[in-house]
Amino acid sequence: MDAGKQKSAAIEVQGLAFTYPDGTEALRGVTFAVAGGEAVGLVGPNGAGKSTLTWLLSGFLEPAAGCARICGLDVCKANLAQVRRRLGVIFQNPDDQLFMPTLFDDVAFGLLNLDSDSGASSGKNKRHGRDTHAGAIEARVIEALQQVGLESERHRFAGHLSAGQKRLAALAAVLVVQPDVLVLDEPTSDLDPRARRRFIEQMQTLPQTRLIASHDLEMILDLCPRVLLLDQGVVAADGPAVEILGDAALVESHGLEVPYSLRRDHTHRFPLRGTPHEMEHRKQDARPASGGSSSPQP
Amino acid sequence: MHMADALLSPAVGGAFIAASGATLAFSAYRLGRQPDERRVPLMGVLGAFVFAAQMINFTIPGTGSSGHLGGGMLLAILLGPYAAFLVIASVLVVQSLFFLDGGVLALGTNLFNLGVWPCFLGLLIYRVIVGRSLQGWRMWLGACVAVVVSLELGAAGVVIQTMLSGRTDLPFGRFMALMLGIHFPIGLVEGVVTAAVVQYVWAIRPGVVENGRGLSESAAGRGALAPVVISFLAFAVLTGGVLAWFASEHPDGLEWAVAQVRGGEHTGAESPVPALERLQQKTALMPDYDFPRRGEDPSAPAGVADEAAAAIPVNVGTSVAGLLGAAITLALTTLIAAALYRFRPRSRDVSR
Amino acid sequence: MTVLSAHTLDRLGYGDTVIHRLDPRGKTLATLVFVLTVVSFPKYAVAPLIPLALFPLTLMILGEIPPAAILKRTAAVSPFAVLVGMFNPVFDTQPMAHIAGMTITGGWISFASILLRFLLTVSAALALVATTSFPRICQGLDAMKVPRAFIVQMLFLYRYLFVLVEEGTRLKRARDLRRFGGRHGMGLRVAASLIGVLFLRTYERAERIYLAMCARGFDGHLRLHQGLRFGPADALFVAATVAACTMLRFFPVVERLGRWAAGWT
Repeated sequence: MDAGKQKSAAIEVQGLAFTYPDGTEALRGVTFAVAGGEAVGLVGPNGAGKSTLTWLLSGFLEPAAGCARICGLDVCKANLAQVRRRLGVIFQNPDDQLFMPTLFDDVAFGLLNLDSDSGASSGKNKRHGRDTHAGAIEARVIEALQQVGLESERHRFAGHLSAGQKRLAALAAVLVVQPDVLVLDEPTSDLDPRARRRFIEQMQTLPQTRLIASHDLEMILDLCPRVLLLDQGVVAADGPAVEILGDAALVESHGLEVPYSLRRDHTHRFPLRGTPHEMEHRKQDARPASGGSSSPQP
Repeated sequence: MHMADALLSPAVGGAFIAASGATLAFSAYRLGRQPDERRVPLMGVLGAFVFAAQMINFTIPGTGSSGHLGGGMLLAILLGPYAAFLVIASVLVVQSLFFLDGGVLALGTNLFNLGVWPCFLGLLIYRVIVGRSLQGWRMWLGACVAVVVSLELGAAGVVIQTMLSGRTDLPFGRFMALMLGIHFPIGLVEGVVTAAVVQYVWAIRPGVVENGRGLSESAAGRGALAPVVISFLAFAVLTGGVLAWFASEHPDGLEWAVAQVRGGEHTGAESPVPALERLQQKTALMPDYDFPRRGEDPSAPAGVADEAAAAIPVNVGTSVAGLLGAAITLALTTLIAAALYRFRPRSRDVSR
Repeated sequence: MTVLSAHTLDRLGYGDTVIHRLDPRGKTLATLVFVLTVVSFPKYAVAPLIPLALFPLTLMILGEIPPAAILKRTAAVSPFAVLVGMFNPVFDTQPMAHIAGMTITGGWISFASILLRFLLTVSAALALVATTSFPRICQGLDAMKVPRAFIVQMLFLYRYLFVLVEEGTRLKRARDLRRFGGRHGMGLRVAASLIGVLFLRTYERAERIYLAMCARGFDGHLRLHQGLRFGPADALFVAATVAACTMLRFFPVVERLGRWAAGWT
């Protein structure tokens, strides 16, 4: 089993297709593989099928054709429990994901479920077992919270956390069961710059295989050496992030823009400074087709 | 019209906690017999939905004043009786703790008044009138009748519980007429809005409202509902009735128990016949029939009681003592509180 | 407005003081004993209720609950109890006491008693939630064998209470912004469709939450972590509350004090 896991890719997708009941073709034959420990960005315009792909990987939707494999396990009804143990999913809206009242309970949720499968056999020594057991769970929850720097907040109400803290909390809730693969759907969408930076730094320390779907291309550049460009349900490009995202013609034809940090001129790392009028100019100038934004226009 | 702790006697409060608690346990048991994983989060957020729906106010036709949805009947129609009862119970707990509606002891009465009627009787009425189709006048009629009936029964419950507890002097008849009168138009409006919401939801996502069957019941469970509800209602009414009877026999359960413990020295305070008691109350020199008389002291025990005694010009001394006692207690209470405040241990974490 | 202040009340529950650290079971039990005691006093009791105020006061002071927060909330509501109690002076005109030449009727005394009862019971409930936090109360009830389905229900309701209230407020604002002061938008039909929208959004949210739960191994049973410890401090707290309530209820403390003072002067 373990040997098989070593050999096979962490995420393997072959000819995956999915059509929503209303007839929308979300995915039309997607094929790719992600090796263990790799971090891959999943980019593409709205409606490209990014979210659908994450749903399919976690087994919430059943593909019309093709198949997905997580750590060598087919994503299907029979394997779902196994797959979900290996796969951590971060949802787009942390309020949907953090459903328990306190941070501690939320992080403990997955652990307690996982645990009930394996710990059911302990028979007679129940009382003693339960005590040490509760202690072990508590220790693991605290460890996971420490990992994201929220240890001191463990008894707080999830509703009182800031958006950034919620993202990190969702991460802790997923990390606590030590998954092999992480799938993240728009993890930075509602974060302010500082919280976003904090989240990116957090992600950089993780050893897990990561698939990150996002419109935040700068974040993708920071985190993912490789990028999958998805459009209209097919993989339009697959390769090194700098190459794909730096290819203005390719990126623009799929409704995206080259991120600022990849533009030819790097003197203006933060070019959006000045009056709104000037900013408008710069934005237009910044289009790769019309060159860099080196000199401020009069 | 949440019943409040301040109006309750322990006996009435306890009786209804028992009745509502039994209903709650029964509902939880019935839900457990038809487990549905999806229902867990759905019921939870629908409890929160009630509070959110109450944010949306509207003008009540013909009055110009504004109101909002109560939501009990809506939950019953959308969720079925048992799930809705649990949701309403959770709503009432949160209301009593965070919004000062009702109180901890009054939870039993409130759950009975606002939960049992719409979830069980109201829903049955609704289903009988509406039948299979969700369109047309029958749905509106069904919702209105169901809401009005359950609301009026709830209002009557408040009156009866208040009177049984004996903390007010409102004449029963007038109080009842007032409460029923107020709640009739409220019920009509609530019924119309409930029907409109059900229809809206049904038009957009018909799967959600399955012919008024509720989300929480399987198709198989449907036919069996009516007899269960009826027998259950009978049980609930019986329990409530027996307990209420007990409560009225002993208007103050604890008082009565105390008298028993004291060996019936002054059990004259407890008359077996309520009417006689009232007569005694009207004619007696000491109108405060439910004062516990203590020991050998001819006057009543506590400050106010002493003032009552002072109304009869016999014992001026005790009246002074009563006032003094009250004043001293007040001063002491304040003093202790102030001392506590002054010397309280500081928390380790002041940041929050 | 009330929701906003409920929010502040809720935040208080997550403090860390002597009172906050007590076991929720003990506090819930003590609160129940206290409310039962208050309610068990006879109709015309006023003075004997006064010392009972020490229970909520102690919780609030040691729990570092700003008194203004509680007072404002208590004053802001016009409760049913007070409305009903207001009629007592009208219907009960039996003279009961003469103080400084004024005759006080039984109705006024029983009304005062109702007011006092209201303040005591309500402030005790507020003190409980402000020094325990709702999830901890639920945790305590769970340990006291309240049906799990109901505990889970309350936890979910509480988790999404403020999230959904905010959503409801946004819908209401959107309507009011485009109503332009007109009467049209305030009708039942518009309100009903707003509530319908809210319901459907809530329903969809429930579906997403369900998926999130499944992703982390939910199988129909919600497991809760049991981290409660009923220590000697909790036993002492409950015992002290019960003892104090029993004493104040069954011994005429106030009267004795008064007579002692009267004899002394």
